[in-house]
Order: sequence, then structure tokens, then C-alpha cells
Amino acid sequence: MHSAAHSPAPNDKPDIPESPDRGDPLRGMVFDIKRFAVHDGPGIRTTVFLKGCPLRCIWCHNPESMLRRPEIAFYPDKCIHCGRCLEVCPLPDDRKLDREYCTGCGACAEVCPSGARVLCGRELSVDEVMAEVVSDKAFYDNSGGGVTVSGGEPLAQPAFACEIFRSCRAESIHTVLDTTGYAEWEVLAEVASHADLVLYDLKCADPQKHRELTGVSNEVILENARRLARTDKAMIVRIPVIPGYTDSPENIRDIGKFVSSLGDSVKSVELLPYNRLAEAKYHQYGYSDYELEGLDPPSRGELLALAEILTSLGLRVCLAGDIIC
Amino acid sequence: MNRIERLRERMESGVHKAHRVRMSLTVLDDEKIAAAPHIIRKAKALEKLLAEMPVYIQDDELIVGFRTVFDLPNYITAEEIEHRNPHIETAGRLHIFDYVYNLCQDGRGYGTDNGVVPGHHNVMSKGFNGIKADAGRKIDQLLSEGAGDESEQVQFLQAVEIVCGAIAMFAARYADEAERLAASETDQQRKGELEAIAKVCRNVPGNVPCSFHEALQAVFFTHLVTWAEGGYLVPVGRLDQYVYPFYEADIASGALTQDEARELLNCLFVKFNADQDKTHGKPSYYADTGCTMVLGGQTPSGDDATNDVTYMVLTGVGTVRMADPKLRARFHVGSPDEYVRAACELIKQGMGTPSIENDETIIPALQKLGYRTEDARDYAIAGCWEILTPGRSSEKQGGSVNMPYCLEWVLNDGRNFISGKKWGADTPELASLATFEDFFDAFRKQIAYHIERMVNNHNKAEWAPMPFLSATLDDCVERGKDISEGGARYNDIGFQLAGTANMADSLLVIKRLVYEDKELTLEELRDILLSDYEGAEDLRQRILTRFPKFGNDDDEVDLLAREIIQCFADEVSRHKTRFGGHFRPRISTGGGHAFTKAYGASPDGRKAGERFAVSASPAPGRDMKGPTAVIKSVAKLGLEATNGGANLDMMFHPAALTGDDGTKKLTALVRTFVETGGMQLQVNVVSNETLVEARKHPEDYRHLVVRVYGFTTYFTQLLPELQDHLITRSEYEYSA
Repeated sequence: MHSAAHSPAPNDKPDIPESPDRGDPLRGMVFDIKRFAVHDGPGIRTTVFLKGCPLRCIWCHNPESMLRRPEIAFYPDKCIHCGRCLEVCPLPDDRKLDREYCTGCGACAEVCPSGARVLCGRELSVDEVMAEVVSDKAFYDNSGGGVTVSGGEPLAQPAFACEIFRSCRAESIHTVLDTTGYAEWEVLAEVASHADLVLYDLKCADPQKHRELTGVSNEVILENARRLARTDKAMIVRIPVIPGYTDSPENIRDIGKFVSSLGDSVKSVELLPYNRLAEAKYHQYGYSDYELEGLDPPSRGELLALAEILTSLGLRVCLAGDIIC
Repeated sequence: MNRIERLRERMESGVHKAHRVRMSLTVLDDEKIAAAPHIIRKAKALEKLLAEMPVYIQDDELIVGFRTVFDLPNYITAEEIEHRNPHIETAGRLHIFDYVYNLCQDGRGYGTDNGVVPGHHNVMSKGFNGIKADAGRKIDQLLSEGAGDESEQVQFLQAVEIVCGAIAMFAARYADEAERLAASETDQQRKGELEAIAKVCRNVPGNVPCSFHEALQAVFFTHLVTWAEGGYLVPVGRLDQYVYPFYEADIASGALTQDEARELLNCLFVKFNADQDKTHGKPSYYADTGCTMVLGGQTPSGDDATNDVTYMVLTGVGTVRMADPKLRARFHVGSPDEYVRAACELIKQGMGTPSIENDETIIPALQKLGYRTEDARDYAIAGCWEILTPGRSSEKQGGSVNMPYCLEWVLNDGRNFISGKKWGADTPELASLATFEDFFDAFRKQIAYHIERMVNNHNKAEWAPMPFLSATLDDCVERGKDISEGGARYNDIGFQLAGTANMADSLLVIKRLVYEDKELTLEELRDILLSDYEGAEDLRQRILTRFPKFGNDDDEVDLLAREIIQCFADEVSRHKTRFGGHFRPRISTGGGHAFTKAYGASPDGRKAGERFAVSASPAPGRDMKGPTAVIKSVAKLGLEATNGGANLDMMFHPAALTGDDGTKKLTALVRTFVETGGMQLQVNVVSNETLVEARKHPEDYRHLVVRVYGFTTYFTQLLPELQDHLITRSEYEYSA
């Protein structure tokens, strides 16, 4: 089991971003490509999810995106108990199908007839990504949409993200980078230069609390936001509203004040209310210790009150696609 | 409460039902009538009904008229009943091809035309007195040419004269009633309204309407009497087109304000809901009224047809919020953004209305079929999805070509998997089908055989005369021919293709497993299917999860679906009706899903008795790439060939389309559907009740997409408690 993944050991949460993957820029680790993505930037979009993230947010709604390497998702209700996975698993008998030792080779998913074992994470070429992405061009054009590269953390695979963006622009497709901002400045600057819009997450204003909740300090993130804003890059700041963790009026006000200081680059602030949809995924990826199990989402009233704090600072706030102010 | 709210509440509470009476009327007690030809007797029966049916005006009503008696007076002789038509099967029973499919029939078992859009435009331009005068002139002409009393043309035209007089008389009875009520009315405002109603009913539908109010009242009387004559699934056609000149004139003269126009329209909409409980057949499934209204699109000359009334209907239906009328919004590439947006806003209200008709595919399809260009551009919708021109088309329901049976017959020597009955044609030894092309050819032969038998029966069928409906049509009077005798300009019969997506998915499995990978022989596959995948669950799962399925923008299987559709369209289109009309191919399941129990397992992994795909949609739960991929798959089907219609059903969770931003996305989806060659699109923004159903019956809702921020999943993949959570959440989305 991935106990280590979720309660990260000290060496798993670096204070400065790791050196990003500078491997073959034409290949990257992708865990999903979703067409008709409607909440990842303007219009109808296709979102390319890159696998691997340096943060360990305790509410992470894509637990399968944390690790860079491929993993196996297991859907017990689909299993027909045919036993083929056991036959093909290359691990020794006493370790068969054990997540602790799983290398993500995918042999079990390959033979699973019912889709109960699914390999998450494929190394794809830019061309393969583009083949999927361009098929919805007509929808992007009619809706003012395009392609969003999200994660995980896209800045952990910057060369690949840049290549996707470059190819999109060659096809006149609008590009959005969805990032935590946790990377070396040069990396962010380079990837963002190929994006028309950056969705920039700010989770928590207090550095110590940020470290407790995400595994890393927010100093790099805030500094990068300031520097990015100075380049006049269009940004939308997104704040996850996690009841009991990030939803205090103080936190929202402090983030709001910080955003106000960034100037005109920030077009709006979006509040992302916590939802319980990821709970199932924690089970499917073998996490038994999801801290937020059973946590209720914020009420609409609470969200509106938080939005009010931001609008009183002169910010334009969006909530689930509705423009509040 | 305002007037509309009061009327709606009264309609929903069913106060009017207490005014319904049973009357044992007959026209056969008059010797002269009893000896008259059938069509005259029927016209006389309608006349008598309209003379005797109690009139009833409710408080607050501005548009009046109720059906208070439902049966036509007896007009069918004992001798006629003795010679019942043997070729018609009643509604609600499984029909294959030994019977003619018909939803409604007269006392002799003769089918009545249903789903014809009455020629409201003729009522607007001539009034029934004008139509009666045309019939009279035509009679004079025929008599002067030597026709006698036995001339069927003359008899038909005499029947037209009777029914035209009858509806004007019926309206006059409502004028009398309104005057009577006005005389004793103490409320001055209502008194004025009743006097206005009396004046309106004194004029229409006999004469040409003089106002918007009169136009709407004429529409409702015509609608009501079409039902009374024995019509079924009576559509309304292009209301925003044929009443617009009256609206425009009233607004220009200052006789009417926009608010008044809106109120009158909404009054009409409430009226359409009076008899939901009295439609033919069983309440659950056949309780459809067919009360379809078409909006927007192009004019007969090819200009954009959107006008003020179009918008008033869209907002009005959203305000009235009742089952009828069902709206169909026609779109073309040049449709104004404001209109597309207004339609999408209404779709988002979650009533499943309006659905969308694509002029860009439908008009060329009708032209190719032989429709005049101006008629093609003037199309409307009847029945479920039937495409035809108001007042010019007779389009009969031909029944379903059950493609899954055809596949069973190929594999099982012409026999059904479940019943074992030999319904299909002889088929070659399976071992002799050496290539996939051989297999497809055998499949085509079964399809052709199925269609041929249906055609033969249809061409023997007799239809009941409908002199009132015929009177409203463009050509019947001029030709002196009832619609049942082919008097309309276009006399077609539609055959619907059921099970398309499942068959495409199935044929792909056969192509790969049997012919490419040679993993199974056809005999082995047949045995697996006959045993309903007993002991072959591995294989079934592999088929479900590993083989491409229609609806995922995968060329191989999408093009196979295209091939099946084109094959079906070719086989249907080669036949002619006995009036020289066309058999028209349509992709529609209509009620096909009700009969799935009769089908065995299919090679796409579907087990015996499970549901098939609906119309042109992917098989349930097999579209895993979302709505854009589905629209792209459908765009590959070459739908100009299915000139009878091809509907795609889509469902959205409201969370995917919230706010102004959501409307823009829906608008873009619809625009792209129109540009890429879709035909008909029904969008459901799923309500909480549906989610509850989806929770109970996940197998039917596997394609319900839930998209929340960066997180994405299918509703049915969620843990049960999370589904419940989402159910609560969607209410919360609406409370905004």
C-alpha cells in the first residue's frame, strides 16, 4: 500500500522544487485526456492530465496524479475473479499484485477482461496527444475553448508541456496551463510563455499551514505568482475551498489581498468548492488513509460569503461557472 | 397568481374532466345518411358531434374550446364491421410484418393517418368558408365535366363542405356561450373578455382571422377538431410562421401589446394539455399527444425564419412548464445567436425541450427525396421525429425494421434466438460465409427480406377517410381526393431502423474475432449467443471493454454503422407506396426499447433482454469519451440518406452547464452539431429524479457524464453514497 505516498516521508517533500524532467521533449507521462472539459478554462476544452506532482495536498482530488510512474487502479465491483492477473504478474509469488512492489508494468491490466484492473499512466508522444486533441477543434472554435494542460503538475514535465502548447498554437488552438506554481521560475516562465492563459492555484496564505496541508512551503509559489503577473500573462487564480482547512475568512482574505497586489494580470478568482467525488479514487488506488473521507462540501451560503470577501477587495469572482461579481 | 398560473392549476387539477359526457349518438338513424357513402357518413358524424358536444368555457380563459365528448357518433354500418380490415394490428402489440403497424384505427380496423401536420396556413389564409367555397367550385367543375353522384371525388368534396360548415357552427356555439356568460358576468373586465371571445368565435375559423387573438383561436379549434375526427398525435407545425403576420399587424396598429400577445400564446399552450389522459392506448407508454411545435429555421424562400413570436414561444413554454406543446427548434448555419441562445436556455431548464432539428442536413435530404425546394425548407415535425411538410405530406408510421432480428436470422438459419420461430429468410450455411463481405451480404439479404414483407403488407392496407384533416391540406381539395386515398402532395410511409449502434458494435466484433483473428467460428459464436454467454463471461467482458464502440469517434466502428444505415436506407428507398410515394428510412427506436425481451444476446456483449441503443445514439453506457466524441461519430453516418429522421439523445448533468458560461458551451455544442452533419438532437439536462433512477438502474445510465472542475468521472462509477451526495448537490446547483 502507498502509505508513503499519502503521508509523505521527509525526503518526499522538498522545500525547493526538484529539477524537472528534461528528457525527450516529445514524450511524456499522461494519465488522462478528457474531451468536453468544461471547468478548466474558457469554452469547451480538452484537458491533458500529466502524471506526477511535487505537492501532496491532503484533499488532492486526483490521487492517481501524484506519482510520476504508472499505477494500477482496481475496481473491485468489476472483478469477475478469473485469476488471470495473478497468472501474469511478474512479481514473486508472495508479492503478486502487491502495490508496495508494483512496478506499473501493466501486464495484469493487459489481460484483465472486465476492466477491473486499469493501467493509469501511459507514456505518449506529442503526436499521440495531438491526434486526440485536434479532433474537437470545431467545438473549440465555436465555444472559445481549446486545450488545457493540467496534472499532476505540468511543470514537472516542462519540455513536454511546451511541445504540446507549441503544437496547439500551430493548429490555432487556444492554450491554458493549469499549475500549482511550484517550480523553478525559469521553468514556469518558459512553459507559461506558450500558454494563452494560466490557471494558478493558491491554496493557503500562511507558509507554515501551507506546508502542513500540501507538503511544501508557499514561498516559491507566491514569488512565482508575483513574477508571472509582472510579465502581463493573463491569469485566473483558483482557490480550493476545503472546509476546516482553507475556508477560513482570514485565509481567503489574505489570499485576496495577495491577489490584489498582483495587478491587472489576474482576470478573476475562482472558488473551487471541495467535492467528495475523489473518495472512490482513493480506494481504487489503494489509499486507505484519506483524511477527508466523509467531509461535506461547503454550502452555497458559505461560498457566497467567501466570495463576498474577495469582491470587497475589488476582485472579480467566479463560482462554478457563475460570475458572482 | 396571474391568469396563466390559475389556468395551469385548473388544467392540472382536471376540473374540465367533470364536464366530459358520454353521449350515444348515431347518424345511422337518418335513412338518407345511412345509405350515403362512408365518407359522407363520417363527415355527418363529425358534424353531429360538433353540434351536440356540450360547450364549456372556464374562468380566465381567452382561448376556448374543450372536447367534452370523445367518441364520434356511430356512422359505421354492421356490414362494414363484418368486413373488418385484417391487415391492421392494434397499437401496443409486437408487430413484425404480418400486420401493418398503426397506432389508431376506426371501427372497421382501418388506420387513420396520424402525425400529419394540418394545413394551419390554409386556415389562416382562406378560413374554412374559403376552403368550402373551393370545394364547391371543384364540385361544379366535376359535375360540368360529367361526373355523377357516384364520383368518389364529388363525394369527398361534399364531405369537405360538411366538415367546413361544421367547424364554423361549432365556433358559433362557443360565441353564443361566451355571450351568454358575458350577459350575467358582473366583473367588468371578465365581461369585456367574454365579449371579445364571442366576437373572435363568431369570425374564426370560418373566416380569415382579423387579429392575433383570432389566429390563435382558429389554430386551437382546428387542432381540437382534427382530434375529434379520429386523428391521433396531432402536431401544430410552424406556429411562429403562420401566426406571425397577424402579430405583426396587431403590433403595428397598436391593437396589441407584446405582453398581451405573450399572454394569449401562453393561454393557448395551457389548452394543449387538456386531454393528456385521453390519447389512444395505454397510459404509460402511448400517452404521447404528439403535440409538436416547430420554431425558427428557414422560410420557404431560404431566409432565416426567426421572429418575435419564436422568442415568445420559447419563453412562454418555459413559463407555462407543462408537457405540451413539445418544441422543436430548427437551426441552420445562419440562425441568429440570440435564438440559439434562447433555445439553449430553455433546454437547460431540464424539460427536455426544445429538441433540435438541423436544416443543413434535413433540407438536402428532403430535396434528394423529391420534395420541392420550398416544401423542403418549410418542413416541420410530426409524431416522434418524422420530418414532413405541413399541409402537404401524409407520412404514415411503417413500423420497425428490427436489425437485431436480422442478425439472429443470419446466425440461426432464419430463426429467432428466443422463440425459435422462423421469421427470417433462408440463410447460407455459416461455414460458407468465408469473408466478412459474405457475412454482410447475408445480413443485407435478411434486411431486404424483412423490409419487403413490411412493404407488401403496407401496400395492401386500407386507410380511414379524414375529410376534415384533408380539407386543411393544400392539394386534397384541388385533386378531389382524401388523404387516405393519396390526396396529399407527398404520400410516404416511414420505416424505422432499430438497434443501429448495437449492430455496428456487433459486426465489428464478428469482423475481428471471426474473420481477422479467427479466434472463433461463426458456429461457436452463435452457440455462445444462444446460451446467453453462459461460461463465456471472460469473452463478454473483453468485448465490452476492449472493442471499439459506436459513439467514441472511432472511425472503424463508426463507418460500419454508416454502412449498416446506408444499406438499410437503400433497401427501404427502392420500394414505392401504392400511391406512388416513397418508403422513407428513419433511425428511430420509437417504442423499440419496450420489446427487448424478445431478443437474444448480441455479439457486442449485450445479454439477452438488455436494452438496445436509442435511435441514432450509442448503445447505453458504451460512449466513454463524452458528448463531443458522440457528435463526431454521428456526423460520420451520412444522415442525408435517412430522410425520415435520425435522432441523437444526449444527457447532461446540470453541473456541466451551469450559468452563462454553461449556456455558451451548450450553444457551441449545438452549433457544431449543426455544422458537422447531425440531424436531430435531443438534449436532456438531467434532473434529480433521473439521477435517482440512474442510481437504481445504473445499466441504463452509464453514459451520464459528471464533470466537476478538473475531476472527471461517470456518475455510475461513483460509490453509492457519493451518488446520493451528487443527487443532493444537483438540487443545490438549481437553488442558485
